[in-house]
Amino acid sequence: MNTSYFLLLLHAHMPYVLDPGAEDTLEQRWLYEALIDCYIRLIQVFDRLVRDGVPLGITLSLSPTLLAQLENPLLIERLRSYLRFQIDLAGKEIKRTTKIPELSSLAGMYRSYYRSALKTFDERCSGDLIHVFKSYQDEGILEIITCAATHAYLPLLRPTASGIRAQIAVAVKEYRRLFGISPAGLWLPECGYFPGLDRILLRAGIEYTFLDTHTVCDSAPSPEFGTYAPVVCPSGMVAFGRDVHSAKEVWSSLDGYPGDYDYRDFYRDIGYDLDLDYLRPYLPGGVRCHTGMKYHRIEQRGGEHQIYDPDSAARKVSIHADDFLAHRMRHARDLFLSMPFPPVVCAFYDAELFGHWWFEGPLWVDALFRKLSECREFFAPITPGAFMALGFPVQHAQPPGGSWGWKGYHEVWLNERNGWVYPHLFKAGEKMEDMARQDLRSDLEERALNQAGRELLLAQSSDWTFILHNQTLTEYATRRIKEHIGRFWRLIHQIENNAIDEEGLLRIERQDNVFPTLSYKDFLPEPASGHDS
Amino acid sequence: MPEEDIAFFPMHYGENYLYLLEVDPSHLHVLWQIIPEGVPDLMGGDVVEDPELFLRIYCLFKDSPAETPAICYDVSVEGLINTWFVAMEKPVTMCRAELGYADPETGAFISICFSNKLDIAGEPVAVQASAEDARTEQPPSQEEMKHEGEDQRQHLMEYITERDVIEYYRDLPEKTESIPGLPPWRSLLERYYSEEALRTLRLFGLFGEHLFNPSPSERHSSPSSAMSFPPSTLDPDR
Repeated sequence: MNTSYFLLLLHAHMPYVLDPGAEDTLEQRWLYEALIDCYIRLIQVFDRLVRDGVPLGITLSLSPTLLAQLENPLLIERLRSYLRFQIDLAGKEIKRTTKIPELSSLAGMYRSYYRSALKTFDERCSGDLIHVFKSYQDEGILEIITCAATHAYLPLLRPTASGIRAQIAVAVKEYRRLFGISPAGLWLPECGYFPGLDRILLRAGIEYTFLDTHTVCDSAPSPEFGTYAPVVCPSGMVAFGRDVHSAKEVWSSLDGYPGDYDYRDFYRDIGYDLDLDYLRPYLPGGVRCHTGMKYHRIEQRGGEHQIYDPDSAARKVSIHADDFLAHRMRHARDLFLSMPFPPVVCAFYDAELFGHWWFEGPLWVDALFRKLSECREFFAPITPGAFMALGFPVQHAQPPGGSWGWKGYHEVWLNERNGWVYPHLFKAGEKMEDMARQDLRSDLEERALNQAGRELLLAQSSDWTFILHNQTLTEYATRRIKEHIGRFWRLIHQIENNAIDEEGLLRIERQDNVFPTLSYKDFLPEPASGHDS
Repeated sequence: MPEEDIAFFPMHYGENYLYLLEVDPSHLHVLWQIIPEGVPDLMGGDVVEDPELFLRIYCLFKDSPAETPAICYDVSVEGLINTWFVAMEKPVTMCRAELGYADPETGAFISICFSNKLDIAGEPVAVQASAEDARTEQPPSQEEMKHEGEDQRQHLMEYITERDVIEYYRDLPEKTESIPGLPPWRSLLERYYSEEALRTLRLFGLFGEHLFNPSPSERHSSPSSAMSFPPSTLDPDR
């Protein structure tokens, strides 16, 4: 009983960006890059660790919109074609840089990298990443949890609570369809929580979730062991709190490991450096963007932008894994000596950090678990379900509202830039509740109303309000919101006027092809309980 | 076609609405739309030129006395379709908003619509586990733990951190003795959390103001600067 525990959670999410009408768009490249740089590489890491007998115990959150895209045959074919495209670009780069050995070697590295990703995708995964993740879960290597259906920021959907329940209900049904069991845990998008949400989750069969540090520490009464023991809400829902130190060392833009100057620079890319005519065949719509071919390491303050050296980066990965583990173990030891039961140190990260933003991130995960295996008697990886099964005491408290966003609450998703979205979500939500109460007359009406429900969920995605807040691709986010809300009202109008355009419905179903298990009944209002606002 | 779909995106909804959202414990966000055609009826059939619009916010605070559980504030606002940030003087536990006009003759508040209700505090906790409770529930004791494997733990820690300490961890604080009068857990936290972290996390209510409490000046309006009524016993659920 000398063991302290380490809970690593990676949250994987991509908004629904598949577009049947356009094969190569900037938004779909987000998805391709996440697949290649993160998910496929994580599978490669897990495979290596399992092969070498390294004990794993990682919690992986897979958002339902990500899963919907991973199983879409359109994506599977497009990813293969994108990978071949990247291999071709790397080959072209090898030729271009023949006289610059440092660059040529890196171009060669990228060609191997994309070839390896294609091989893993085709031969190891047979194009089916979900099946691989499921097999890991079945073997007890991963604990897969779900997330709100379209990653909606739930605290800001409170005026139409049926929307919150539908986000959860659809996520649970999709998880069951794809993994064959019910999800025990749910990642709250952006760690967005409000009192009462725990009760909604519990009613949907969810047993545990995750909160940011301050949300746990500000609970009433103050949890005596902070984030190092789970908190149980009055409803009975269990919440694991984020360890602030684990977060800072990896996430901090100033001091975090990914900012080390031995690592590859994400922003310096040939997509912006080379002649446009040379690149044009490899850019969506011929417009400059990241190509994935990056030759520089992170710029030292006041220094020059030097060429990336994979060997130096690999050495730094090992050092940073040592550093992280040593800090965690020292902290865990002191917690262990001070607490009456073993602490659990919880580290939560977006999966896309590992590989996409932080190119060396998957190697760091690999190194961390290898080192962790050497001392697992005292500091062991664990998943939430396994930790709960140990039966240690818990802390009873009511967490306040909060998130892991800027300032710790809801402001990122509700401010002058994106506040206009909410009345549209609420009005559509109210209408969906009304329609769900009505008896439908035909299968076609049911199909149309189910699709209206999908459109509403897609409009609720937190990604759009986040983009509007950041002022990055505002035109795209605005268009997506207006399209989904527009399609919603179009379908409602047709149902109410008994004039469903079947061909138009089929087009919309193909366009927004998500959540086959969704039923309009998921939006039925619940009898007033007094807890949900 | 997507363009056809966007054409169905509503510019307005043809009815009054008022939504209340929480931005953070001290700030609310209100969104509304009023249909001009409905206003004269509410005003008794008389059309009033440029009536003054008010947002009435009913709230319960954490420390509301039992005899005056709810307080209401009126905030002067404008626009038939608008959004408004409202800064609260202190964190609220429950609130609701009402939009209305002030009668130009009597000054009476004429309601147009109510918002949803926001329950911000959640449920009271019936069971409170303490360290003492936990000690009675779960062996082993701290002493047992030390005997069982602390030597090995120390050894392993030294092994793991040896090279790292030399190169990287010079500044890592050593574990120190407990501060008399404080339970070991708090003492530990005080040692391990940097000054900045203590300031920002406000752990255990010991460390002052909350990090995430933006200045009221960042917001559009504040009850203290707006027209406000004295605290009264109003029912936010009426």
